[in-house]
Amino acid sequence: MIPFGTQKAPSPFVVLPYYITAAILFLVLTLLMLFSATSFTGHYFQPHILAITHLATLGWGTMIIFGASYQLLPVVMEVHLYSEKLAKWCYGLLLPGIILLVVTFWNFKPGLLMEAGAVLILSSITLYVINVYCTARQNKKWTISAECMVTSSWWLLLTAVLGTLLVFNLRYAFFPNDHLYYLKIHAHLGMAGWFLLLIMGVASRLMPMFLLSHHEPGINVKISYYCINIALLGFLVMAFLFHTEKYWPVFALLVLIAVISYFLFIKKVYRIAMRKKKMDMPMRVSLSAIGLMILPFILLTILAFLSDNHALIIPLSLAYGISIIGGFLTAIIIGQTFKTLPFIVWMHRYKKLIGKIKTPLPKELYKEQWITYQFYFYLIGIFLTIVGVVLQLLPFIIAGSIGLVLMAICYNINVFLVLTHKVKEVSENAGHKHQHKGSIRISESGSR
Amino acid sequence: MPDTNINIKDPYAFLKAEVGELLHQVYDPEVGLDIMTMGLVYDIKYEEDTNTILIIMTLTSRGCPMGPMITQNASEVLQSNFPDKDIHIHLVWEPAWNMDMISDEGKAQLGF
Repeated sequence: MIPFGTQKAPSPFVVLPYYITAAILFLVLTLLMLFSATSFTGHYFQPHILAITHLATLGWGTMIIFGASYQLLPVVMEVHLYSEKLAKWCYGLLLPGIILLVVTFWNFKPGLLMEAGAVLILSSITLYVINVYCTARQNKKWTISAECMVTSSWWLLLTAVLGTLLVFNLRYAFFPNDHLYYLKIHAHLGMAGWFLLLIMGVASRLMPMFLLSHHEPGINVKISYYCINIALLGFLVMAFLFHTEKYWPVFALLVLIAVISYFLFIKKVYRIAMRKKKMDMPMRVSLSAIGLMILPFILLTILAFLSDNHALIIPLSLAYGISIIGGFLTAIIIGQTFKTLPFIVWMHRYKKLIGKIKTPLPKELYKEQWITYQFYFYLIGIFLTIVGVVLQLLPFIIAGSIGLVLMAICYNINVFLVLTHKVKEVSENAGHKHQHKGSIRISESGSR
Repeated sequence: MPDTNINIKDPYAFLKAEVGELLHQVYDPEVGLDIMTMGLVYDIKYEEDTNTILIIMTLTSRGCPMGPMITQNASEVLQSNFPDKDIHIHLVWEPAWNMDMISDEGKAQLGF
């Protein structure tokens, strides 16, 4: 018996549907952006932007992160995933929920179908939280990475609860304040509490592992963790108990401290990393994503100095949202997909053949050149889109969206190349146990 | 790291050297280097009374997702070459692996 690692990983049939769906929805998302480019020259609270935002955050970001989390929870916590069945149900509820929500947002038809979509998504997220929580309970060695994963799931649940209430609010209007006021809270809970916290936690475990760096996530990641949580709690208290936006810059500053502290952690990891000179393309993309975390703060700082009715408030706010979802979130996903997906498929295809045939390396399951193309299309696409949105230049938005579509095509080609990988050169005895007299034993202990 | 010199006073020196050579076929799939070059193998022993080849080794990090693949590969390679012997792979975490354990050849391949 092997007492560690991937023996605890769930079946690939639990994880892969999330990756496949996210890749397809990502392409759909970029196409929708291209075909509704004019929407990006107006207010962010409009049907097409709402649909695109939710397709991006739920269909792309959350979908793939759920899949990756089910794979990585056993790695981060060194325990088995609590329930594969819950993970399958989670997918079964999430996908129809997203379709219903996005379609009804696109046509802006508040009512039963939109509400059903929101409830399905909330149910799916509840199952995810239960699975994360119950998996974490088995964990005997508590780390800050695990803490980030668990806490971020609670923030996600809160985001989904508020989101569902907002959907019902469209029909029943029970919130005391303006709908947009709660929309801002909903968006920031999701972006900082769910995406930022989770990515910081998971990356603090994976970055040192992939870069062969032995800098453990310590004080810097803890500072990031507490700053984000204090900021979000303060933000919620002020928003719901005192109904004021007055202290929001303070909370933004706390999140900025969290990001700076996280940069310092990554800098230390990188400084002693053994694989920085011959770093593969997925890791280069992932590290660029960490750098992109600063972009929303630049836009936020500009926003803070503008008067409430300044003409740039709306386009800058939209660009701010794009810089988070399309910026560091998308960059880290397109990088880390090719550090996790090839491994999952490789393990599934070759685990019975290891030691019996010469196996390829997981990185040989995809074309690294396509990741280079993908990355250049991404950088051009996101830069042009943000500039176009800020300056309200439609040709820039269209050109940027074309760049993002091309990036999504490259991404999908590589994802499906990995998924359709076939085992070659299998000898006659491969996959079958040889008749040996001797036995194999694998054990583990602290020291020699 | 296991002693790469052959100790002629050790009756199993040649067996251990052969095992060491075979373990050069076992790769860390993520890094692309074999486990001997990476310095993941701390000791190779032969226990005569139980007819067991014992490999004391580590991984680059605790909970390494590639861990089971690497140990499975090592045990399969050894068993197919020594079918009449028991194979025991024992993982340890002390001393923790670090880059000084990589051979010069391995460091060159990683770009150092």
